[in-house]
Amino acid sequence: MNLQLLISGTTMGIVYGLIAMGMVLIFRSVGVMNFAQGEFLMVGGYFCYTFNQILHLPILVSLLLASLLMGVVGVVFMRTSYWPLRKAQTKAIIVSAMGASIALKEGARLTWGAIPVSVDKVIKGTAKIGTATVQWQYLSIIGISVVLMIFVYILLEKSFIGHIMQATAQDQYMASLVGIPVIVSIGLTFALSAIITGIGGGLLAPLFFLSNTMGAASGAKAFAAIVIGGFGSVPGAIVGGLIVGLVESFGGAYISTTYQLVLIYIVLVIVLMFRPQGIFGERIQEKA
Amino acid sequence: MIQRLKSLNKPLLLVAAVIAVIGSIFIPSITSSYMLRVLNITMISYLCVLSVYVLLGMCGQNSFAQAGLWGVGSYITANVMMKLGFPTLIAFAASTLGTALFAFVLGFAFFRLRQYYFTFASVGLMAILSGLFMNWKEVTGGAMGISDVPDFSIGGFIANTESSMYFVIIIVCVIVSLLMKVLFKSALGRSFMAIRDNEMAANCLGVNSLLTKSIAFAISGALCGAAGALYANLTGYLSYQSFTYQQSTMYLVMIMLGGTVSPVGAIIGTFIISLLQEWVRPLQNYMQLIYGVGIMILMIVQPEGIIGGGKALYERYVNRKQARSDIKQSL
Amino acid sequence: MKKVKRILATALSIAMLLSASACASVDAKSTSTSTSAAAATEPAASAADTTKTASASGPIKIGLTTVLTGDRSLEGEYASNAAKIVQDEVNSSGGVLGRNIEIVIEDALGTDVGAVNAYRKLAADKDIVAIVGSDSSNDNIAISSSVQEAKILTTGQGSSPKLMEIANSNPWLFQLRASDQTLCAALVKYAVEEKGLKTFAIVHDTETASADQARLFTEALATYGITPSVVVPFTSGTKDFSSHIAQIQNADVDGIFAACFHTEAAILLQQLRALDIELPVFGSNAFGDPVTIGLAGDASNNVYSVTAWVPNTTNPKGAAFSAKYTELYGDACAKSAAQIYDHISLICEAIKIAGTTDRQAVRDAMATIDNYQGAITTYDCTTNGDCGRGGLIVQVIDQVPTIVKELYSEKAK
Repeated sequence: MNLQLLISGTTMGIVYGLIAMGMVLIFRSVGVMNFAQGEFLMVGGYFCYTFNQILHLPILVSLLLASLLMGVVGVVFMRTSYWPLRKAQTKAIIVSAMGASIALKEGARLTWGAIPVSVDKVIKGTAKIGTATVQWQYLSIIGISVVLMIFVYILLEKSFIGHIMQATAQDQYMASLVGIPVIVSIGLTFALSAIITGIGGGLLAPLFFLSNTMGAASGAKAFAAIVIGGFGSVPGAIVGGLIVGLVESFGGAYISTTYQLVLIYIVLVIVLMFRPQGIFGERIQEKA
Repeated sequence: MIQRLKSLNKPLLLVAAVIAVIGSIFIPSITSSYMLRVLNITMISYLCVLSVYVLLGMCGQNSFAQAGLWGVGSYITANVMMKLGFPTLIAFAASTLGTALFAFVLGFAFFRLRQYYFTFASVGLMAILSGLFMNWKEVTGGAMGISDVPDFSIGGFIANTESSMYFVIIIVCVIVSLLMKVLFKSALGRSFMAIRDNEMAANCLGVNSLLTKSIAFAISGALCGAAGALYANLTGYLSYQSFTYQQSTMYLVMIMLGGTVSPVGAIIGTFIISLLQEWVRPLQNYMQLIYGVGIMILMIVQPEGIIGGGKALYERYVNRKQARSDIKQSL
Repeated sequence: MKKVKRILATALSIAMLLSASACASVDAKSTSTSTSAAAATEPAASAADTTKTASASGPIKIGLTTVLTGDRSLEGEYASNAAKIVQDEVNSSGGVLGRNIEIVIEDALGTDVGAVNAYRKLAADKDIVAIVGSDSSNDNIAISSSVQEAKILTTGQGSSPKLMEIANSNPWLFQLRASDQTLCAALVKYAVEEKGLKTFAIVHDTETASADQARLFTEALATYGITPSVVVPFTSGTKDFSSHIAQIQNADVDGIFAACFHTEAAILLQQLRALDIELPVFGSNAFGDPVTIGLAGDASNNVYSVTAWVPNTTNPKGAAFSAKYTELYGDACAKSAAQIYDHISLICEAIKIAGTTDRQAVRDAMATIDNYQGAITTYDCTTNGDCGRGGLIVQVIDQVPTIVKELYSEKAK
C-alpha cells in the first residue's frame, strides 16, 4: 500500500509541479502571482477537447494545436491584464487577473457548456510497478512533464531568447536600456507559461475530466507548491509540487481524508512561519 | 476661489445629511421585500469591506481571509445564542470581541511575514477555515449548516421583519462609520498609514510593526465579527457556501472599485457591486462574464478606484484654476 | 478637499439608495399598472377576486430559481432547457385555464445569498403564481424563511430528510421528490438482502447532499446490525483517490457504498477499476447518470445506483420527454431536467384544480393532489415533504443504466 501511495503522490506531485512551473515563470518575469493560472489549465484542456473530440484529430496532434492556441491566449492575456497595469500597484494587477479568471471561466461555460467532458488518453491501460498499479496516462504525463522541464531549462539557461527573458525578469528598466524589447520578452514568457499549463490541461483531461470550474482547485494546490518550494525558483516549483503531492497522499491515508486540503495549507503556513522564502527561494532583504 | 467653496460646504453638507437621514427612514416603506434584503446584505458586506479597508487601505496588508473571519463571527453568534442560550447583545459582543481576539493572536503569528507572504498566509488561513466550516459538525453543523438562528432582540424588541433588521443594521453601520472616522484621525490610524507608506521608516520612528499590524488585524476581525453576528440574525441559516474564498475576493474587488484611500470608497464600492449584481439579472447567462470583464476594464481605466479618480479629477481642476489665475496675475 | 470628498460621497450614496428604491418601486409600479389595466378587461367570473388575481389576460407566470453561473451550473443548463420544452408543450396544448404559461428564470448563483435574492425577486413579482426552487437542499433550506414570509407556493427539488422536516412544518413549501431516506434504505436493503453482502465501506463527498446520504446509508445498515468497516470522506474537487482506495482495501470489505457528484464519481470508478478492484459499488443517483457513464466509460459497468430517473425509463410520459430532450439538445436527458418537467406540470395541475391564480387557492389545490403521474414517478402531496413516491435501483450494463428493481414507498414521516 505504501508503494501505491508513494507512486500516486509522486505522479500528482509532478502534475502540481507542472502547473506551478507555469506560475513561477510569470512570477519571475513580472513579479506578480497569476491568479488565473488554473484557468489556463482549463482552457488548454478545452482546446484539446475541441480538436480531439469535436474535430476527431488524434490526441498528439490535438495537444500540439492546443499548445499553439494557448501561446496566443497567453499573449492576449498579457496584453489585456498585465501590460496596461505594469506601472500600477500590485493589488490592481491581482484584481485584474481575478477578473480575467472569472471572464475565462464564464466564457468557457458559454462556449463549451456545463457538462463535464473528457479527452482521449495518450496511452491507454495500466502498468504494474512492483505491487503498485499506475495508469499509463500518469506515466506519460510524468514523461512529457520531464521533457517540458528540460526544455524550459535549456531555453532559459542556454538560449539567447532565454537570456533575454531572464534579463527582463531581473530588471525591466535596465533591460529596456540595453535594447531588449520588454513587451516582446514578457509576451514570450506569458506565452510559454500558458503553453506549458495548457498542455498539462490536455494531458490531465482524460484522468480528471474537464469542467469550467476545475481551474480553482488546481490553481490552489499549485500555489501551495510554489510557496513551499520557494518563490521565483523553477526547481522549487517542482520540489514543492512533489511535497504537496506526497503530503496529500500519505496524509490522506494515515491522518484524514476529509482534511487533505487543510493539511496541505497547514504545511504551507508552517513553512511560511519558519522559512518564508521556501526551500529553494532566496532570502529577500528589505531595503529602506 | 477655494475659500468660497469651503464656506459653501457647511450648509450644503447639512442639507445632504438631512436628505440622507430622511431618505433612509423612508426606504423600507417604498421598496419591496426583495430590495430590502439586498440592501441589508449590502450593508453587512459594507462592514466586511471596511475591514479590508482597515487592513489594506490604511495598513497596506492584503488579506484573503475576511470571509473566513465573517464566518467565524456568524458561527460564534449562532452557538452563543443557541447552545449557550445567551441573549442577542451578549452574542453580538462575543462575535465582535471573539473574532477580534482570534485575528489578534493570528496576527502575531502571521505578521512576522512581509507584504505578500502575509497574503499567502491569509489564503492558507481561508482554506483552513473553509475546511473547518464544512466539516466540524459540533460547532458549524457540518455541510448542512445551522438553521433557525434566533432573531436579533433587545428587551421586548424583536427584529423579525426585514424592515426592523434594516434599521438595526443601518444604526450599526452609522456607529461603525463614525468610529472609523475617529480611527482615521487618531494616532493609531496614523501609525497604520505610516506602515503602509514605508514600514522601515515607521519602525525608525518607533512604531512597533508587529503589534500595530496585529491591532489592525484585530480591528478588521472585530468588523467582520459584527457583520457575521448581524448576518446570522438576519438570515437565520448559516452554511459553508456563504463563507468562501470567492467572497473574500469580492470584498477586495469592492474596495478596489471604490478606492482604497478612503472609507467612503468602501461604501461606494460595496453599493455599486451589490446593486449591479441585481440590476444585471435580466442578462442571466452573461451576468458573471460581464462582471469579470467589467473588473478588468475597471482596473485598466482606473486602478485607483472611483474615489482615486475623483481625487485626480478634482486636483486637475484646482491646478488648472490655479494656473489660469497665475497667468492672469503675471500678465 | 476632504469636505468636497464627503459631499461627493454622501451625494453618491444617496443617489444610489434612491435609485435602489426607484428600481424597486418601478417593479411595484409596473405590476400594479398591469393589474389595473387587466382589471378593466377581466371576465365576469374572476371579477369577484380582482384584488388577488394578477393580470387575467396575460400569461400565467411561474418562477424558477436555478444555478446558471458558478460551480453548479450543470443543473442550470438542464433546467433552462427543460423549462423551454415544458413551456412549449403546455402552451401548444391550450395552456392552463385558457392562458399561456411563462416560466421566469432567476440565477441562484450557487450561494445561499444568491438563492435567497433570486427567490425574493421572483416572490416580489405579483404576477408570479408559484416558484420552483433550485436543485440543492442547502438552497431550499436557505429560502424556507423567505417562503413563509412571501406566502407563495414553492416547490423544493432537494432530497434531504432535513428538507422533508422543514417542508412538513411550512405549509407553502413542498418537497416534490422522494426523500433520500427512502431511497438509501432501499439500496442498503438490496445490497444486504438480495446480494447477500456483509461488510461495507462508505466513501462520500463532504458536501451537504452526499454527506447526508452517507449518514442515511449508515443508519440503514444499522437496522441490519451492520456497522460500516470504514467511512472515507473527501472534499469536492478531489482528483486523486489513492489514499481513499488504500483505506478501503485495508478494510477488506464485500461492497462499497458511495455518495458524490458526477465528476468525482467517474474519477473514483476509473481509479478503482484501474487498480483491479472489482468490488460491487452501490452509489447515489449520480452513479447511474448518463454524464457519469459518459465520463467513466467501461469503468461504470456493473455499478448499482439508486435514483428516481433514467433516460430510458419505461414510464410513458418520461420516455416521451426524454426523447424530446435528446432530439432538441443532443445530450441524454438527466434527472435535473426531468425534475423541472414534473415540478412545472404539477404546478399547472394545481392551478387547473384551483381554477384561479390566487396564491392561497393554488397552494390548497396542491395539497389535494394525491396520485399524480409525472415523468419521473407518481406524486402524493397530501403532506408537504417526500412527495415523490417511486424510485429505481439501476445497474449499469454496457454503459446503459438498466432498471433492476422498481421501488414504490409509503410516505416517510
